[in-house]
Amino acid sequence: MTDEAGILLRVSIFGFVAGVVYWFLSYEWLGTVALLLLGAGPGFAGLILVQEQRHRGGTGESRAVALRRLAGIPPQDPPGPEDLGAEDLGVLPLPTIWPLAASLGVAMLFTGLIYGLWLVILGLGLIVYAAWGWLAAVNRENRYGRIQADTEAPSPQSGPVSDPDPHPSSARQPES
Amino acid sequence: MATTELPLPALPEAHHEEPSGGIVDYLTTVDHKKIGLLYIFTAFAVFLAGGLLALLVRWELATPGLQVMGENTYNQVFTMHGTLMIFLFAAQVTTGLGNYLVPLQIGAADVAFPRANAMSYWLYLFGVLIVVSSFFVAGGPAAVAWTAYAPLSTSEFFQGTGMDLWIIGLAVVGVAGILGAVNLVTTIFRMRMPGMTMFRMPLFTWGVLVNQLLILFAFPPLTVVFALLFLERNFGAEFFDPTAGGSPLLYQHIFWFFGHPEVYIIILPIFGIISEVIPVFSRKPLFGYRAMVFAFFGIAALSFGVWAHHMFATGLVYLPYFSIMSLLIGVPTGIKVFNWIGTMWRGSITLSTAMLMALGFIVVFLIGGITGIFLASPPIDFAVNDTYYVVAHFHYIMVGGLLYGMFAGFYFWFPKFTGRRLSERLGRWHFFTFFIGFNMTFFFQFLVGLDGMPRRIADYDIERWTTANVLSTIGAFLTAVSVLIFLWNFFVSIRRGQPAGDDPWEGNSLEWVTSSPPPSHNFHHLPEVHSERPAFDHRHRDNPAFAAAHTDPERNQDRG
Repeated sequence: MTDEAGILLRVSIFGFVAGVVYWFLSYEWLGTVALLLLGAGPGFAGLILVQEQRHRGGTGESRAVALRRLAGIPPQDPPGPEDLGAEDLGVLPLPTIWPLAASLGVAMLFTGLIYGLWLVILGLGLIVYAAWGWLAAVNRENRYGRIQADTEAPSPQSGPVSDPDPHPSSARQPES
Repeated sequence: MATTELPLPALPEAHHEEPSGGIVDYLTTVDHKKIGLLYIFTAFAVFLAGGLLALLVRWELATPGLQVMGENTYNQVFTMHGTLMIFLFAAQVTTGLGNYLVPLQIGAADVAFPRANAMSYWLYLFGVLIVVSSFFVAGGPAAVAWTAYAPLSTSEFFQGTGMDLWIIGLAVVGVAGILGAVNLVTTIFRMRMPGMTMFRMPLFTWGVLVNQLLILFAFPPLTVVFALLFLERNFGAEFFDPTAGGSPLLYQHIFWFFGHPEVYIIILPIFGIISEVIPVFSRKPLFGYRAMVFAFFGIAALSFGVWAHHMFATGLVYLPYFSIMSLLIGVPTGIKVFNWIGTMWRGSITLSTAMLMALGFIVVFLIGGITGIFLASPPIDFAVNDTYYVVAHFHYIMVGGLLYGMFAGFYFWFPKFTGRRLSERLGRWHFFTFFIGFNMTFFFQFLVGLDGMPRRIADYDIERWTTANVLSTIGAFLTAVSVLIFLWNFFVSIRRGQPAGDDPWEGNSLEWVTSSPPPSHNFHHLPEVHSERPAFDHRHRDNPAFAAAHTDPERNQDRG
């Protein structure tokens, strides 16, 4: 069991125990339901993590690592960053306006509950439009990669302090 | 065509930097650092607005009689003060810091869902705008206190669009909070660099993790209760009307099932900040790392079991259960304070402004916490419920806890955000005016509270309360001066501050390994992580003494 799952399952156990104890002390249903739900929510998330780890064949904390930890033996160090394979490299998404547009739509939809149906419909329309644009942008980036307009000209460094080259890295240049 | 993949070991400088600073860049950004800064600036603007309302409250209460506003306006002012401060500032400024710092501290390039992260910020901003817009509608903003108890907040007793805007705005902020929480929890669970096990994460990341888990489990009840209230106000539902089979207590139960975890949503990341600042300025590793982590979870779990101690005076809750659970929270909190002091013990302490703020935090948080333990006892709570004693207690926790920790974090991480230091000289002025002003404001409220002065009143006609109230008002204005000093410090330092370099404090966690401010992909180079102090190990990687200390199992066990 990974540390993540352990944390969630412990909170879950607390929720169930507190819920049962609370019921027999107070016979008050609302708090009992809330506490049992507190047991169910993290428990569900924790079980998903356990399930997923089994599915992957336990790349999280193995039984051996867990035993070492419980026995107080310091864990063996996992592979450092230089051992990373290419599949672990991340991709940063491009700037996009759609989260702002979708949020505006949600705000209009909710405010429309006060000011009338026309605003609800406008908000829904904006949400659908933004979701479409959002997914199209995601698709485009997945298919063609991240298109960089100014790969040739290095842009000025961000931030108020211009620090010419703090990390003189002999690294490879980006493929442009 | 070029994909900006992130080759973790090394990346060339500045070729893929986004041009930053333009308004379009901020409107379209998906960079967790810019979003974090947007969160922090928005929350701070809300803080300034809420602070102005607080000054109005103090001005009104300085002497008996009505000075600046009528009673209804007063109700609106203190309601909006509480709303802005608790819902829209306190829980959000720490989310902003977490957004900026968590990916850096775990060695990730960004959060798990960068676009959804942007969306949660914009939802938060629109929520703020909806709530603030209630100042400009007929009838003005809500005047039902930040708790908005039904039936007071139902349409039977409080008409007007202001209340509806209040509900809708906070519901939107609640949705934003849940979205952001999913994002940050996934980031912490899934985006850690190799070697960064859960039990090597910096305490601030732990604080944010527990805080976001609390948001995940506490904000849904809040959204539910606001939905019920909105249905009751606008669509004729009768959840809270006893004549129709509803119950006003339903509102209080659900609200406080959110409301008490909210206190820890606010304070847990602050615990994390303090646990980062104190080891760095004591030149020692944190005392009892694992105990600190388990204390986080102890506090978080217990915080869900204590909601009805806010409802003792209703006479309809089972007192011993909630009293015992509330008293129990003192245990993990005590562990934390003990460990902070243990960290400082025999350390080589530098009294920088961040450290002063952290020490101030411990003092005021202890006062707030200990007075809270009294309130966990039902007989005392019956006596002082809804008096200024309670006001003073939770301001010692909220203002004391949150603001000292927040300012400690600002002074600590400002060099990382901007590449420049905040002025230490102005910082000292800031700290001492704040410390004196804050204690003057709230300490005397304990005394008048014990004397029976009720909260949420615009006027009082008991002369012996005047001295305490005048002192309290002077303290409030002194606190405002200290915030102005901070703002002055900010504007001066961001232009002309002393350049800080990448690691001005010789910090412990990974954000100090990268440049200040960090590049858009966060790291040019990631060191290996072998302990909970990767930046420290990296700094001393060539020193055989430190290397030996780190491979020595017994030492590791102590710290583990």
